[in-house]
Amino acid sequence: MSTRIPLPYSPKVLELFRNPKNAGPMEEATVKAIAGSPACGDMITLYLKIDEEKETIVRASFESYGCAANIAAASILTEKIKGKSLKEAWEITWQEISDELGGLPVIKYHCSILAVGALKRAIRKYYDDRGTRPEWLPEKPSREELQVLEEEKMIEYMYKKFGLQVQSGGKQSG
Amino acid sequence: MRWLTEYLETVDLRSKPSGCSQHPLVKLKKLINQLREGGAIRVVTDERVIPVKTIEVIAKKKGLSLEIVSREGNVVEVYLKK
Repeated sequence: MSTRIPLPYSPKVLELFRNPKNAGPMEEATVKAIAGSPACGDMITLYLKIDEEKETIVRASFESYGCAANIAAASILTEKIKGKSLKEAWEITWQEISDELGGLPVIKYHCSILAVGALKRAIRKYYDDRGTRPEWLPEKPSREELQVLEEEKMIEYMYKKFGLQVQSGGKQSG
Repeated sequence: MRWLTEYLETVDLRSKPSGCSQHPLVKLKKLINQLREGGAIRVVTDERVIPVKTIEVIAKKKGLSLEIVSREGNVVEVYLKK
């Protein structure tokens, strides 16, 4: 018998890992953002279809290169932000996502941070592309954006140090 | 890089094979060989029939990462990622 022990995932995480919602790319997306790096094992691309007049998220989807928790976090996030205004979506925290998943193991907190970090990057990019910034959008990066950036930088640094190649998702694209 | 929608296929090693070539382990091996960077497979096994150790050996040989997602009695759910 294997000596490996599974992480204590909640039933919600397991359900969404087995049957993720909104998985897959979205060609008609208004904006997309990548967070994480395959080198560290987790990476997510988030696609948002935005009603530009109402500044509301019409639809969201994701692609994940990650663990079970990463897939579940991205899945629940894309469900949660559907129909929300960009401001409402911006206010979502990684703790909320973790809570809605029934709690994540501590070493998997970063999966929720990654999902919310990708969302915040996408929202910021949406406004950057249009050369505007609403009052509610802080000039400085949010906690999740900073944590995602730190993780990406750390992996890049380690890969450079050991002479390996890394394909980072740190840069926004769209 | 391939992504979730293309790759998350499940191989149930508990299913009864109707012949050698239909054996779920053969199917698993075929899928692993076809797996590209970023691809993943979900495997469900019964430790009494095919132990996780066997999957670990295959995964190691093929350079895949392995995560045990859940365990209920002897039934184990494994996530393999390239």
